[in-house]
Amino acid sequence: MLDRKFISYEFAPSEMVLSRWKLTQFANAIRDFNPIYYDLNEAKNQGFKDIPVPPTFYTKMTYSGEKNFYATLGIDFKKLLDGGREFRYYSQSFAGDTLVYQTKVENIVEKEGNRGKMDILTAVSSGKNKDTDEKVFDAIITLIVFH
Amino acid sequence: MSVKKLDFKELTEGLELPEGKTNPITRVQLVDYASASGDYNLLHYDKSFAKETGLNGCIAHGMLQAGTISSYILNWAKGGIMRNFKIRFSDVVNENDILTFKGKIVKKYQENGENLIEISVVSETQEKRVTSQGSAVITFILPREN
Repeated sequence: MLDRKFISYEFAPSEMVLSRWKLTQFANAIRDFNPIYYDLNEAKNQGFKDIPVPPTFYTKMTYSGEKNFYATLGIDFKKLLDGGREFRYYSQSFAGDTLVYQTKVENIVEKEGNRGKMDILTAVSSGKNKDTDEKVFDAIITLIVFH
Repeated sequence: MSVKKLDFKELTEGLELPEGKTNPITRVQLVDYASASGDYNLLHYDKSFAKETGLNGCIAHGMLQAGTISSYILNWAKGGIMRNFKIRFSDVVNENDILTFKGKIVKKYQENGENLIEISVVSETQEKRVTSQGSAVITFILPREN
């Protein structure tokens, strides 16, 4: 059972420089072979200023940062299920941008299902462009942690 | 390579996207995803750990599946940019599963000067087990120039 003291808990803000390599590595991991993620000229030909960020890349920003997300919350991997996500995109980011992002736990509620009691944790990660201050994304995360 | 962009005028509500299909989701891919995403839950690449949790073997990261679905949508919606993407996971994706995606335009509209479509999407395994359901809102404007 998750400690309720984490309701409204905010992880420290972190920064990430979006390197071309990181974006290409991510595209390869989801086996998306669209050349815009691999070839700068191709990205430019298609109207992008650099290699664009694949839309679900920002999931990385929940897990990376100063403190380990799961360890901090005391989540046991053996009891964890991913419930889903919602991403809201405000502006497109590209390789070369630096993002500032932060994750906040919104709520933890108890529910009962087929596998017994569980906690439903919702958290929101938000990111903005460090140089322009432009909002980039919100990611709303739903995790299921069995008791 | 020149890419033919979708013509917003030709899109209609109810239009079905061509089906998409992944290759088998191998252990190598699960390791690639753990590294690329930073989600190192052992469940995804350590079979004995996965078995301790009551699973038959390694399962894919939910967000790996979500990533393949976002690619399916964007590789069809040429010239489009995602505004919103929602996904709810309903069943596990096992190592070596092959996922099939079915998408459909459920709404076409204009808002704040943007041409938008909403797509619903379902993914299922080779055994027709539904693993996730989601939706995406796509806008057809040019990427930010500067």
